[in-house]
Amino acid sequence: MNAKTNSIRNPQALLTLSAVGLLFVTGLFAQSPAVVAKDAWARVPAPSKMETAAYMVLENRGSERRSVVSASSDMAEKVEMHEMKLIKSEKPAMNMGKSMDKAADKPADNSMMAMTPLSEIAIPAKGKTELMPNGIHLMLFGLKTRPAPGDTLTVTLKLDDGTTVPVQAKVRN
Amino acid sequence: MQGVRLALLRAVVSMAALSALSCHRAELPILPVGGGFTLTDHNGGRFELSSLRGKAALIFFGYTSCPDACPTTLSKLASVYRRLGDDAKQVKTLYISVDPERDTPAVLKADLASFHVDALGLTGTKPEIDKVVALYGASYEIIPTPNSAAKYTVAHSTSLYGIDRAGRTRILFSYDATVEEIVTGLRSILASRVE
Repeated sequence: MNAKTNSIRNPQALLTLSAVGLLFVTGLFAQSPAVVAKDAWARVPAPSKMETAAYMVLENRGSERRSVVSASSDMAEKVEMHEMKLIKSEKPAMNMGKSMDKAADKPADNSMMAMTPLSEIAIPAKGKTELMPNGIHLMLFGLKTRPAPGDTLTVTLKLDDGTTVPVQAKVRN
Repeated sequence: MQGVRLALLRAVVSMAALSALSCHRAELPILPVGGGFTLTDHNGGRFELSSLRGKAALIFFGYTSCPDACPTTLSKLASVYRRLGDDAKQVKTLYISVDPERDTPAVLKADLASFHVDALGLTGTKPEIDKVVALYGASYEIIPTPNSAAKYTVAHSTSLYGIDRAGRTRILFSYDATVEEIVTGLRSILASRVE
């Protein structure tokens, strides 16, 4: 009697093995992500645009640093990660006249708010990262329908460990 | 150095604004930036700053595809208008686009209508806009973003210019100025003498 016939003749052992295997597989996929998204909201899009920014607090309950590596939504063609930062204009201030003396008493604002696309959003271990105006935001491009205040936009964040985080962003002005 | 000078100027201006409120005889300084200009308004007509005479104005530079900074400023200005009460009728907001390629008068009109602000969107040819940017000591830069659906982004300065009834720049509000500071500053501007 070989092992194969033995296992077939012992259906209880087969069932136990299958159950253990199933538990292992579901354990892998059902593992709750260490990161949760809280207080998510999105702006009502400008009337001429089908795009908008979304904000939230990302909380990492795990003991390892995690990062969001991409984001997607069934409600938009593309979701990007952006950061707003103050940068200095590299060009000489545009108000500079021919005479430097003249320029000296004329104030120039060469500090500019600029958007930079991000490839990841890091969330420290046991810490949080806030996506808020004037900082990091998600940008939803190509919204399929125009959301109104009170509507919910759903976004899925993909983390560097392969897990995903669901986000429900309330639309408001 | 320029930044330090601007910060100092802002501090002096804020103090002047506050003292003007507590003592109506104190006058706000006239700042050496700004002045008259002509652009196209969001109804497609020519607009001259001088046509506002009798009203105070808030001027800022932005663009309607701005993901974050411009909507933040416009939301703040909606609160400023609410707080101004009856004085709100005396203040016009001028939103000067630094993205004439995308911001046509129709786009400006549609997008500004969603904010409760008495705002007029202004645009023009690039040379026309550059002239006004230079006049106000503002800055902007078109930055290509080939990996983004945005295609390009426009970095821009965020100061808000407080203009008196004679079209002169009296207060430079920084981007992080509070609603309270802007309301106080505007009341000082409205109370200032116009020769």
